[in-house]
Amino acid sequence: MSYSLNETEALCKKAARGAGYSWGLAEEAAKATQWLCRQGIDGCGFLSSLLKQTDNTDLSQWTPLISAQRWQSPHNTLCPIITGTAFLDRADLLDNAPIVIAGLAEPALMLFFLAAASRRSDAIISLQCANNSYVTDGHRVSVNRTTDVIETNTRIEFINTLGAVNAVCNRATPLQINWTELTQFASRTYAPDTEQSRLTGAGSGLVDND
Amino acid sequence: MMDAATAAVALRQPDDVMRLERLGSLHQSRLSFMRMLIRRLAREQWRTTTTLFDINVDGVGRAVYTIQGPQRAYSLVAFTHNIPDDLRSDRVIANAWDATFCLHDGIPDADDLTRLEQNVPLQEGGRISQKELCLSRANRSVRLWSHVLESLAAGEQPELEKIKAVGYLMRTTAVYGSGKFGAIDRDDLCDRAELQAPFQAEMLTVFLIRHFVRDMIQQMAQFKGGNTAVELAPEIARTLGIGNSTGLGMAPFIVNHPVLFNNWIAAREEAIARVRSTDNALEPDTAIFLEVFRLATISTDNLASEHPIQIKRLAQLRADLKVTKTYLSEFDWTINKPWNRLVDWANTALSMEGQELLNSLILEPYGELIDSLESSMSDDNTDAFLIDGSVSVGQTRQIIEANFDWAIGLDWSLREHSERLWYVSEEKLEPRLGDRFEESLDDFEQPLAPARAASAAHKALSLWDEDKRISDFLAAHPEHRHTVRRAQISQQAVYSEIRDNTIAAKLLPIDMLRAKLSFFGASHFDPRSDRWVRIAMFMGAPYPEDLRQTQDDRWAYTGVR
Repeated sequence: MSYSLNETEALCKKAARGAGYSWGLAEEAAKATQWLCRQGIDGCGFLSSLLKQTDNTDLSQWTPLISAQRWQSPHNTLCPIITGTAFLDRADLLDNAPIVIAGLAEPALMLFFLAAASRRSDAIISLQCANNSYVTDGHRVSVNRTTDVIETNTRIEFINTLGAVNAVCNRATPLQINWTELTQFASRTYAPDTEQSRLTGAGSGLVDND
Repeated sequence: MMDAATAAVALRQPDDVMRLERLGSLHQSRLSFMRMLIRRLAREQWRTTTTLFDINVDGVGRAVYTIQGPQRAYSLVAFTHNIPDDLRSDRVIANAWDATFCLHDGIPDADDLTRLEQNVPLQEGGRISQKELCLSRANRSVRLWSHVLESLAAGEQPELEKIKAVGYLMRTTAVYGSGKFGAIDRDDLCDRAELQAPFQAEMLTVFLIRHFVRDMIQQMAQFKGGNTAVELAPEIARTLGIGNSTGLGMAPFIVNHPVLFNNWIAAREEAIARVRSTDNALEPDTAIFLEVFRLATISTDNLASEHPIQIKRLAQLRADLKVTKTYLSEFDWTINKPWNRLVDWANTALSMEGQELLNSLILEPYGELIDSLESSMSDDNTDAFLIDGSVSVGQTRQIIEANFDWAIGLDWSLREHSERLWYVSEEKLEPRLGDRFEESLDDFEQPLAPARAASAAHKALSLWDEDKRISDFLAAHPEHRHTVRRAQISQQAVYSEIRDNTIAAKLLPIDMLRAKLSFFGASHFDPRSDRWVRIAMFMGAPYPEDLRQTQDDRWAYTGVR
């Protein structure tokens, strides 16, 4: 089944919120996922995987400790949404040398933020992680399988060429299991139905037979 | 230095415009989305044909109407059902409707119709596809439907008084677009000229539903009365709109789309300022104004409501119009900037309802001056979402103060300031409003209290060095990210924030509903409670066949007489 990008974004926002992200970060998680889907990358799969990892944890532990060229977690792993927002805020650090991020979960979810930085600086940025390298000019993405082993580090840098870009998709085509998982996270934002809620919450009666 | 006589009149300040009482007093105008749609359909000579009409004697069946424009066609696909009276509910929790619809891109083939027949009647429980733009449903106004049906079947026209009391034969209870339930995304449509302005696909859907409803009742009257039955007189049909019943779902929209809502308000404010800045009112222009003023007075006299708030406001509006009529009878149109003089007077003499009706009316003669603002009313600036992390803590605090100075010092633990709580029920995801002090709903609260959030962010920011980057603050306080984003947006979009408390005990959510509905072009606001409103759409508008004969753009003032 295919989903519109708008409904994908709406679900992802609720899912991230349901998984414990602040509304502001949930908005960014949703944009980041939708953006990947538009680029033909399985954003829903990545987000669903991320939320399963961060669920029931202290999100501050997933926030990067930033130094000029090497970012790392105070704990184990970094969240790509939190790290992505931090990257967009500090993309100036990239002017000097590549940024290496240690222990980043689902790195592709950072691409939305790289793309924004790319548009701001009018430059091409690459993100290299285990087995994959992604390159964006702010609007499109090229994805390449690589044999460069960079272990658990993710490397972000300016490069000169974009490469062969993915076709833009105007639908999201997630695996049903991932969509269901996101729906379950989202359902945590819905209040249980009660008789009082049903009768008074909407401000209208139950029958409009007039 | 600019001479006072030629200086342009400034835009109104957000502190004045963005109050809920004023937003809840807005009226339709030339810049309303229905008005834009009708202008285009008439200008471009769109033609509608009935390609399928197969409704049986029980009122069950399907119909397809195709409207052809210069470049593309769209089709309304309608399914009609026979539902028990006790299932007829306007709320989103309903699962059955008298009629269900979708707007299809182009002309549906047999496979499309089969697919749609399996899904559209289920509404939220079904799926539509990229080939559809909108999903909608409507219920009969039982009392007016029966009266009109009985009358036509008996060979008579319905009584005008009864038409006037309701104003529509069916009311829609949702018109979904923008990718909902699988429909095509707006991003994939906005390069189509006819859909560039906001909500044009939704308005087109409703315009065609109105056309279908007239055919439907005439068909049913034909079944019932046989040779005795007559068709609905065109002049009566024209006074019938399509109703709409709207609950809380619309209120979050104007909070959740700050740039878009800003663009609507900003366009209207710019239009008002341009007209007020006009040095001279020419006789043909004042004649148009006086005519719409006369028509609006008649329409207002015909409005009725059972809700105490609206009864009071209507009485005030009628009084306003009376005072204005007297004022206009002696008004000197030869002075410099007469429209500005008129508006300045209204601001001292009329209620907000009266002021805002007048602000809409003065736009009527000036299509050439303001209609081009239509193109500024969409939101295509997606990068407005991105936070600029280099802004300082001090600057951020100042922006928040500019928008919410009145909110910063409030004691948010008090019931009067924070009684209401916006949430979404698991029951068909119906948006609802709860009482924070009576119900345990805090965990489910939606971020729809920008003033309280701004106050909290301001407090946290006050503990930080003002020269620090906001990115550092947000790394430590991700809970304020949403608010900082809104603050940055408000710098580009000065009308993006409602300057009132959206969770106050005295909040009237219908003010928020009306603000949005007025931009659609709705009329006949009839609140059913503090959070529920019925309205009419396209009342007085041409039907598809009339588009060929007229470009009259003042249909919105020509409802029931």
